[in-house]
Amino acid sequence: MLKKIKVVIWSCVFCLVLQGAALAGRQADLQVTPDIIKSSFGSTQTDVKITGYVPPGSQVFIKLVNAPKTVTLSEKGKQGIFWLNKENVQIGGLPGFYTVLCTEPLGWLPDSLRAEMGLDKDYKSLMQTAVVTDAASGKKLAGGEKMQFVQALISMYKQKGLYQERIAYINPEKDGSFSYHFLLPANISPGQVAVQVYGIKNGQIVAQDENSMIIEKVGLAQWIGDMANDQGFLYGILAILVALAGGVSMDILFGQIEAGIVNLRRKMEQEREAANNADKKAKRELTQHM
Amino acid sequence: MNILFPVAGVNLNIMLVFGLGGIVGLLSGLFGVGGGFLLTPLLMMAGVPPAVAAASDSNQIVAASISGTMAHGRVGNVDWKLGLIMVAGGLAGGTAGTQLVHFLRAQGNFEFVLKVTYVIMLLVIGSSMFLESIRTIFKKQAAGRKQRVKLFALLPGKKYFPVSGVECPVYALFGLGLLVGILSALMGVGGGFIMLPVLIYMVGMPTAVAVGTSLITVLFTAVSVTFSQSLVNHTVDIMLAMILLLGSSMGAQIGVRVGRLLKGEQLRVIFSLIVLAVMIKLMHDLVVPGGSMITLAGGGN
Repeated sequence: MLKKIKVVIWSCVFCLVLQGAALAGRQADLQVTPDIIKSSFGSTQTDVKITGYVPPGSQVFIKLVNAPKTVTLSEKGKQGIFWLNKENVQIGGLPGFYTVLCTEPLGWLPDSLRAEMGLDKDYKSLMQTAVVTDAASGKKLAGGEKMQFVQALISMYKQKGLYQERIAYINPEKDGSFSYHFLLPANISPGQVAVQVYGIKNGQIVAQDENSMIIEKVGLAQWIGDMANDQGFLYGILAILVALAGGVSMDILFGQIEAGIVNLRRKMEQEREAANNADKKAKRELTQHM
Repeated sequence: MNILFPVAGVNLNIMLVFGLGGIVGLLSGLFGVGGGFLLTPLLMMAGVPPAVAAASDSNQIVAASISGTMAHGRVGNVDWKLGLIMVAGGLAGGTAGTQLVHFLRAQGNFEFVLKVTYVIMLLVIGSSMFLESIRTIFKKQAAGRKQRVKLFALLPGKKYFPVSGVECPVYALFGLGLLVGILSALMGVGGGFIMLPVLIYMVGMPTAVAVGTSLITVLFTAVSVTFSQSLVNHTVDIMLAMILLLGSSMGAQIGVRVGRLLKGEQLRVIFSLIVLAVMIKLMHDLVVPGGSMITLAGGGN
């Protein structure tokens, strides 16, 4: 009898473990539309649709992040009455775009879970991974000296709308499916943007998935940007020719407008003169008739 | 409508850029000045990186000066012999100036040097224009204006230029072109505001020939600077330059017509005050710390 009870208990435990494992590993079936964003001249924010599934009653956390890029910053210092450049540093390891959309504030998550998901309040984990190097000496900066540059860059990114941590009204349906529209800023560097979604319930990750989208610069903007950077010689000639053509076109255009206005004035004067003459003639005829 | 300018790397409202070009064109048409010296600071205030603002302004000057150059060329208002010496100086100065910009960007002090140069230049232009206008209003300008020193004629190694009917040393003209070229690369200005007073008062050229000859130098120097900036610094934004051109062309047409209806001296006082206000804003940025002491290196982009 005791043996039977033991078997039942172990079976229950096994089932619970299996269920838990299945729940934790469940895919959120994340879809991002469009998966390729073509940014052209005049492109503004792009409407990105993020859909997926989380178990009912879960909170949703979505993270969008692109590849790290190296940026050079200058620090000003006071010399006399002026503010001059004191030093240049290079910051690597920090993504140029980092956005977290969540149904609850990040503080709602337990610390261990936040660390597991790579989500920290006020970008703390990003600050740790960033590498700051003095451009002149090549020496790596640490501590407060490093942090002031990383914080300054993150605050520039925040001003440009590239770094965001915000509550989003995702509202999953009763079956757990959700659909959220996000306006992607136009000033993100071309490349891949990784999108990760987490479903959190009872302090645990109950669903997660990852997908990505590609940002491509196309058309005139891409062509001009690439040419300006890679083919300076040809770009310089093009810039001169476009300017010369633009200047001459403007001259012709305004010349035509000016000529049109002069002709119109002349025509109006002629018509007025003709009307006056006709009036005089009529008066003369009337006088003769009388 | 916001658009992303591909070289400047900033998202700006197209009407703002068009409007800035329009305002500068309007002032240019009203007061008969080039206006390049106001456009670069205004673009910087709008958020365009300083290096891109100056280089794109030069590109816009190519477009803005071509029609004037053609018009003066057709009526024979150009002293080609004298002008080509200044053009040679302008090309050398433009190339040297572009290298100077490259060096200053690498040092991280381009923005500082640009603002200091602008403060000095706007102070000189604004205050001299203000004083001249005040003198004109009180009808005291006549004595000062008629005295032409012809300083260049006092220098050794003179050469006679028959079209202008003046004597002037070649090195002084080359030096003038060189200065204009350096300032053009550094600040994105045409340089007419320096050349015209020098050619009229210090060289003694007739005003119409001085205007035509100065325009030739402005055009070729701006062409050279646009090319060098594209090659060395990659800071010319064609989109930005063309939208500015569209705005400034329209603004200038309106300005010329409005200017005919208004009294010049009073307007020049207002214009000089605008120039001085821009100077004070730049001076304020230099001596009073802004939001952050840490900025993107190299004047942006």
